[in-house]
Amino acid sequence: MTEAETHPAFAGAVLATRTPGQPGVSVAERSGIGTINLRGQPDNTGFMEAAAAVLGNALPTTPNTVAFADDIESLWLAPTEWLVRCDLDQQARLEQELEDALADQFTAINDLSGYYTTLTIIGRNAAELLARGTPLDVHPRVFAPGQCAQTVFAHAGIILMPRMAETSCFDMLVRRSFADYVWRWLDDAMRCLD
Amino acid sequence: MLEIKCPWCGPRDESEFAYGGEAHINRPDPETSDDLAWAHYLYFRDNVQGLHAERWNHAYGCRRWFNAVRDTVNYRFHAVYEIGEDPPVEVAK
Ligand SMILES: [Zn+2]
Repeated sequence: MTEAETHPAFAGAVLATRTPGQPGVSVAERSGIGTINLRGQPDNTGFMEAAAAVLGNALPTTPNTVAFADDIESLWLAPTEWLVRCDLDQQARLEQELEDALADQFTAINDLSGYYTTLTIIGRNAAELLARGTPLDVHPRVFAPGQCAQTVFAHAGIILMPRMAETSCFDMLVRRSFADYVWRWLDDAMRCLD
Repeated sequence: MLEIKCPWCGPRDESEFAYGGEAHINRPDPETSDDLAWAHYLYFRDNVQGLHAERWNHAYGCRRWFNAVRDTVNYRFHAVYEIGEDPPVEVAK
């Protein structure tokens, strides 16, 4: 599980706009998140009910929305696919509970904790920074907490999730092999925001 | 840049999609078809001027395949519909 910990290229580092006294935007890795990919048929009530019992909330069936329960987030990825996020130290237990509860169902449960890392982008210019790399409309009017989207950022596939209503904040899930590239791209893009 | 309406995710930028060529091409039965039928199945496409039924994949989004009707003259999309459905508007021949 060590792969799911901090990315060696920027562990502990924070990118921030350099103008003193400006709220600007900052980027840091949010490590310690467990990620499980869950697949099943939404019209199979046995699958949906068993998954909801483990996750504490029904899997979202509205495209690009997130269901929250305690420390678990379930992101809609596709009509038959969800991404479940939890604390990394809860991941193995949750995965086992899903496997037990869904043993009789047509499903696939895969640990992706080492596959994605999460960059948290926070600050007044967060949406402006994202808009430099993604064609997705990230304005809070159309992309607010409770929603998620898979899209492209500077040619890298990402999952974006607005986090807080009062502050502009996004979680960007990026494949670990692209994370160093995306980090450098963000660093470069931030130099033009000041 | 085109804006394409994924049946699941709604309107998204063209850069999230992959083009999948002409839609509604049926594989002939290999037991009963001849070389000509296979050649048409593998290599022959309509190349229409006007409304074209074609496949798209939301590659950077939900990764679902779907069909679309697009005007090959001005690139305007006239409909999107699911795999297995017939085109909801008349296409060029
Ligand atoms: Zn889609």
